[in-house]
Amino acid sequence: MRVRWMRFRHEFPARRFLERHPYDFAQFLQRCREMARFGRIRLENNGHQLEGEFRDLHQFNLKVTRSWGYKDRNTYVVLHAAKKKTTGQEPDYRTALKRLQDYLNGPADD
Amino acid sequence: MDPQMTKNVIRTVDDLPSDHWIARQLPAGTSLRPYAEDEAISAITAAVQDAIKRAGLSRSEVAGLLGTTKSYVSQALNGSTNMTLRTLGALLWAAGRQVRDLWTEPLGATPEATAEYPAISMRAFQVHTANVPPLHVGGSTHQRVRQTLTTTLPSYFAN
Repeated sequence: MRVRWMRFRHEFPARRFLERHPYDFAQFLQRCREMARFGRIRLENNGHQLEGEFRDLHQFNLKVTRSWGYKDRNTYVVLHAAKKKTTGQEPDYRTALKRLQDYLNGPADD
Repeated sequence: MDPQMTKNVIRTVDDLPSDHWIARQLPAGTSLRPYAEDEAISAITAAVQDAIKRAGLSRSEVAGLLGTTKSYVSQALNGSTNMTLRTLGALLWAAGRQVRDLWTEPLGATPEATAEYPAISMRAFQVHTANVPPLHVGGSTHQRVRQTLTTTLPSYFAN
């Protein structure tokens, strides 16, 4: 499996964010490996596919953060990562979805 | 101490070969403890889930056998609580298995996963730097992503 970081304004924001949380980054790598080996995250609490309008997104639940990505066969595109919130995580879902849609519609103007 | 005994100790990124895919991602000196913890929780819990599934038991039935609640069983099996060794033993008992089965059977390697993803290996993390051409196609998001990836990354699908 290949994991690719989504670029945004000449940066890789999800990667930069996770690099500031080394514990979560190490967990993130383990989740990626699990995804590669088994095609999914085996424990629902560790990560899952979202539902409804966000069903294209795969969420990884880490210690203090969450990350969102899109999986297509053997490529996993990391779109966004943010601090874990008990409520009000939807803006982050929208950010991730927007990045996915921007990616599909071509390169950003900036 | 016998040098052979310490040869393969891996605790930090520095203990991995420099070209290892994890070593390429994490800064030097980073502890691999969270990676190891997560791997253990995931592998062992998935193995217990698999054992219960193979025994044909629902979570309610497991709860009945253990004299506990379904939510307790669910919490243990979805990884949201830190399962004790006693709970692990109880769940294996409910599934009619023994702890040695954790070593003698593939941990959670379900036929479904291996059929869908044959011979997957984590080759490399790559930063997305490709100049993706504009692509305006119809269909679902999934179809558009597929088309984008197969157009821009054909070599990845050749394997």
